Amino acid sequence: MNIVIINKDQSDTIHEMKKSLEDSGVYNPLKTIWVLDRCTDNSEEIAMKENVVYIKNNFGEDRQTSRCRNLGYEFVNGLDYDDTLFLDADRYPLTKNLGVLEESPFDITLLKLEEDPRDMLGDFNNYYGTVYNNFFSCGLFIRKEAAAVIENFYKEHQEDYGESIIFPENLQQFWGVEDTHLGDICYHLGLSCGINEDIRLRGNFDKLKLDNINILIERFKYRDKLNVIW
Amino acid sequence: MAELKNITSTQVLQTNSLTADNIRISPADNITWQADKAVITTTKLGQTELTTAKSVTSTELNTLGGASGSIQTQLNGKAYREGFAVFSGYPSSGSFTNNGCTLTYTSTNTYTLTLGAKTDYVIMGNNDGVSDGSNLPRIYINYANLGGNLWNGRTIKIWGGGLVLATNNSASDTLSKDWCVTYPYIMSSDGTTSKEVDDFTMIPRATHPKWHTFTYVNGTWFTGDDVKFYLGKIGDSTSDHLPVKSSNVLQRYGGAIKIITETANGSPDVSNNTYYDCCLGSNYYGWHHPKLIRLQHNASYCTVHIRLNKIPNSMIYFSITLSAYRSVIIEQGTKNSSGAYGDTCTAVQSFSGGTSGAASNNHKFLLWSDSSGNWSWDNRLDFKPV
Repeated sequence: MNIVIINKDQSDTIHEMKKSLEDSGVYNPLKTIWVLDRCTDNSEEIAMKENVVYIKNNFGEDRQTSRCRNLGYEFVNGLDYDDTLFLDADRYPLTKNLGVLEESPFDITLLKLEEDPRDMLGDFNNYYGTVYNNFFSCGLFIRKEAAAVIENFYKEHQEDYGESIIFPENLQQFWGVEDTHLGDICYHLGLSCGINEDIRLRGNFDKLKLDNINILIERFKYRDKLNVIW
Repeated sequence: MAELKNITSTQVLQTNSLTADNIRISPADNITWQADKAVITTTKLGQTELTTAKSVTSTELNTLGGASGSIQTQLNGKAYREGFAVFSGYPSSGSFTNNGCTLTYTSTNTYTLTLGAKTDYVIMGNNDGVSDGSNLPRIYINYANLGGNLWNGRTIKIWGGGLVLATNNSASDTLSKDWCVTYPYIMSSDGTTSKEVDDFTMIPRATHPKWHTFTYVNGTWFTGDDVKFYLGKIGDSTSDHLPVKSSNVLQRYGGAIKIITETANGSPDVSNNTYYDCCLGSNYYGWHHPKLIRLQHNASYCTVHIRLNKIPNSMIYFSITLSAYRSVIIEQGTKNSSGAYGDTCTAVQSFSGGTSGAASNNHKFLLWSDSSGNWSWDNRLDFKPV
């Protein structure tokens, strides 16, 4: 699998992340990319010391998480087209079983954090409470066929999404919304989505901070154009 | 439609596209379907075990690279695989060395790349695509250590938005700081004019950086994302028509189709109307054993058929060298209804060796295949459709 890791001044996690991927048997230097997002710490120095492949994003002033994930996706898949696992630098896997993702039956598989209460089993006639409505991208595994479907969706809606490839860059300035709107898009496109309970990533889950109505309105502007039953 | 398999008790499926009709579940899985809800739950825990993915071992890496023995190539100093150099970062001073390749810091945003003798492929990263006119990375190719066709087929893949790939020691640019180039361009050797490669366009700085691929074929750098496979490396067409001799060179030119008309020593290697299957294998980026074809010296005419398999996203390069008073006709065709070749061919191009000189008339050709494996001529070289 290809692996994309976004890093924002998190040099202290590069070693642990690499070791964790190696322990899981999924680390391949040319299929794993660290995207250093305008880092002001010594991330680049550590990346070179750890001998990992990295690219840098020096563009932008606001959050650039979607852009960085998209750049990482384009980088590794431009070398070897494959399924892709997206990780955040500080959310390295604590378990050594990432390989099970290869057998995942879902188009998109979400990973959980250490203490993570999200179950999100819901009635599909009620979109609220489903995985799609509570999408999160700090640990996300996507099949290449599903990625192609999403890529094509963005190409057909460039007026809204610009250069987006997998993650919507038009909403990346709003924490939590870029993730959930990707869930909206996956639901709209009919892609299957599930949670893997066996893999655990470092860190805990805080309640989604989506109580800001102005942020929600930004998401709804785009969601309302999709075939999403609320 | 989603096909379910290997669902474990610890995975939860949610999708909006499932109905009872389009789900296939084997009885052994012991999964119940709740018809009134689009939710699937497993009722028997641990029924199916997921298979742990194969770990990446040194053996697999070797297989990937087609190398034998220990892993030899390095990623900024550590082993990776043979024939493949990777530079993840640019040196701030001094140089990086990787599998015989050297990337040397020359001055601010200026680097020199020197390829190793066995390096087929170089990957460079870390141009973030927001470089402006005052900060435009320039990469100069050092030809000093490699001569002639040892450059043939070498591919350089560079990640970035704004950059210049120059072939000598001087380059200038007038780019605004608000823009960068989508496609790199190659400066001429005197540094005063630029040779644009494909579409040279200016784009906003915010635009994504991309992969840029350059492949060197007999004096010309080709670029484009479709240069994924390079098949048909060819020997030195000026070396008195002789086939590639060195075993090292033979390795370098794996996959070669060398057609030599009128061999200098007159020894015929093939008879008239010979068929060659160009079975470009799928091993290691499609590399295959060389095909060296020499035609009879004094034949009144000689026909060689090259049959190309359907191979997607590939390229074949070949050349024909003619002496004076010799000519060649290129025909193309397909199998006839009985499966035989040749009798449906039609002439598409002809060349003459002229009336003076020996072996001075060399013609170069490219063929590309699309994603379905269908071949077509590329008219950027000598082939011009009639």
